[in-house]
Amino acid sequence: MSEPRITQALPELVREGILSAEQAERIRVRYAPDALQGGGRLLLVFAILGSLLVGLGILLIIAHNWDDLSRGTRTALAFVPVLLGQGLVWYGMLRKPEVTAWREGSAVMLACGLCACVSLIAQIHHIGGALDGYLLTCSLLILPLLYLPGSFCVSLIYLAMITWYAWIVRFEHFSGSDRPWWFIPLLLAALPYYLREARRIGTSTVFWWLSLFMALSVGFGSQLFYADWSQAHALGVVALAGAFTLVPWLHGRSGMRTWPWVLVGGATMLITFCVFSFRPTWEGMDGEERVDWPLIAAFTTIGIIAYILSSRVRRPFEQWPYPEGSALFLISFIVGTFSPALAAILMNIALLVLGVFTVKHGTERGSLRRMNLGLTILSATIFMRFFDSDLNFVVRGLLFIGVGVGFLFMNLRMVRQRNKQGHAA
Amino acid sequence: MPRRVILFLFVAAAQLAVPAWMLVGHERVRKDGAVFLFRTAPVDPRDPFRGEYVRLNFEAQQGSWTAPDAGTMEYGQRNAFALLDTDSLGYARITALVDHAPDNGPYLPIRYWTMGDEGTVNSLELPFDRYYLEEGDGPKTEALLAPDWSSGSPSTPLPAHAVVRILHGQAVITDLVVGERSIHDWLKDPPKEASPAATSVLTGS
Repeated sequence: MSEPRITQALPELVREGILSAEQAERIRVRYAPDALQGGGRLLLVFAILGSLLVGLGILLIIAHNWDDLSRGTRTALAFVPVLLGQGLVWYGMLRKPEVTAWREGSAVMLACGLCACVSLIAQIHHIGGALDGYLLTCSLLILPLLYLPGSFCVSLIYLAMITWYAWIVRFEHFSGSDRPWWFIPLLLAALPYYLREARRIGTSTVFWWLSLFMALSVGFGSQLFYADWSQAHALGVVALAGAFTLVPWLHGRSGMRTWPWVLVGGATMLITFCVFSFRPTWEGMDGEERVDWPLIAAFTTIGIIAYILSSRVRRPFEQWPYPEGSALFLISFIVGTFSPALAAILMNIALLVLGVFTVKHGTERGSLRRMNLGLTILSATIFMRFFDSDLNFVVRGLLFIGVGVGFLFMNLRMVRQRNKQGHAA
Repeated sequence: MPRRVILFLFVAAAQLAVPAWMLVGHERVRKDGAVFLFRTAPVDPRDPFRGEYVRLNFEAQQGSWTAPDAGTMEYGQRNAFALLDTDSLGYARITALVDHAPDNGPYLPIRYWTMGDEGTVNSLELPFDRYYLEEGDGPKTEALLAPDWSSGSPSTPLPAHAVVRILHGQAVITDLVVGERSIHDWLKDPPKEASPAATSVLTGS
């Protein structure tokens, strides 16, 4: 049942005696902001989509270059989308400060206008330069729109843009000494906006998306400062991923939609574990490369601090086992320095532990999604071993059947359990 | 007027100032800069945002220069300044690479790659590398400068050079000249029998 429907059903539930008037009022207050916004939601979507399409259309028209127009005319035209966007933002702030559709639509239009303006100036004057320079300039220009008028859509564009910029700087000049240093202040500049939105609309779907973009931006961006990649770098990745999975315990506010941090951290950890469950990954560990150790140590410290802080409100393995996964990886890494085979075995055990705990949490909470995630981890671990073992086809076939039966059995069991609980209620 | 709206007016002014400043700097170079001709061979790529252009591969980028920081080099990218002069035919050439911008004479900031402790630079990147054209003109320009193979042996492509104005290390490309004509004239008025390559390309055959 969607949230507005809950508030619509309240009078009936009170009449039937299912809810007291007081409880109904509390529910109404809980969902009031969403219900208020509900009417304008469609308008908001169309305003954003419309602005985005118009903005991108302007970019494409400008990309044509219009050689027949004089330099002066083209230069004047370059500023038209910016002035139009600024006018709309100004009008929205002055006359429609409470209308989200105005705020988002006009800000998106201005962001596109600014990008188009920089493009056109570069065209007119044949300014060279790579894409990273362009993205950096545009990011700096649209940054104020996160605060004035305070646009959620522009914040997503901004986070995507700075992450793209960091990626290009790192991978276009990988063998050089270039690092995306600008990414750090650019990300920090968006942090007050994120924290403000967490306080303001932390329980909304909008904040879920903002959290997802923030988690992806921090996650990707933080890994682009290494000089090289070796097995040791996975320590930093896993430690930071572990810290991500602890975010819901760190803010201490229930109902805040910080789940995307867990999603990004958990997925990163599972992928890393899967990669390191193969023995060849551990072979050839090189202790020579020491240049990135301070950075790896910094990420590990962040992971440890996050774990200590969260341990005040979280028991080990509570909700999900990923934070403990970082410790398992650290143990495997130490073992891997003298025995790659043993480290690979430990990683497989770690994956099985993660799978079992996820299934356990899923069944305890009646969550089919989580239980199936646990089963997927378990079966993926088994299937991966097909690649580095000489099992014959019959054994492989039996294993497939076993895993399939396990999935069916666990799901049927949970559905039956749910049905029983439903009837009992 | 709310404080936020007044603040936004300052933001808007700053947003306009950035592209305007880009313009002012380039207009100054275009007006007062010394003219240099860089021999080039364009190829045609696209920019996802800025449209179509020809990437310019300049003859002056290749050569043999002493690296400014010879003896202390590691593998990687370096920044330096190229001192400019013209050859007997009037085309730009780089005479030397130095660590710091000179007080007198034309120069450009450049980047180069070092492959170890060799002390010699054979290739470098100039601060300009593209000439924007109207959509569809990029491939025509590239083909105009490519050799024609239709007769069984390659024809000599038309010579091309970029007209670049340089002032205090800043450079602005003002034109791309192909066979003594601006590329814009070629594209507006394609000759019928000017050269096999030009004819075949500009008529689309």
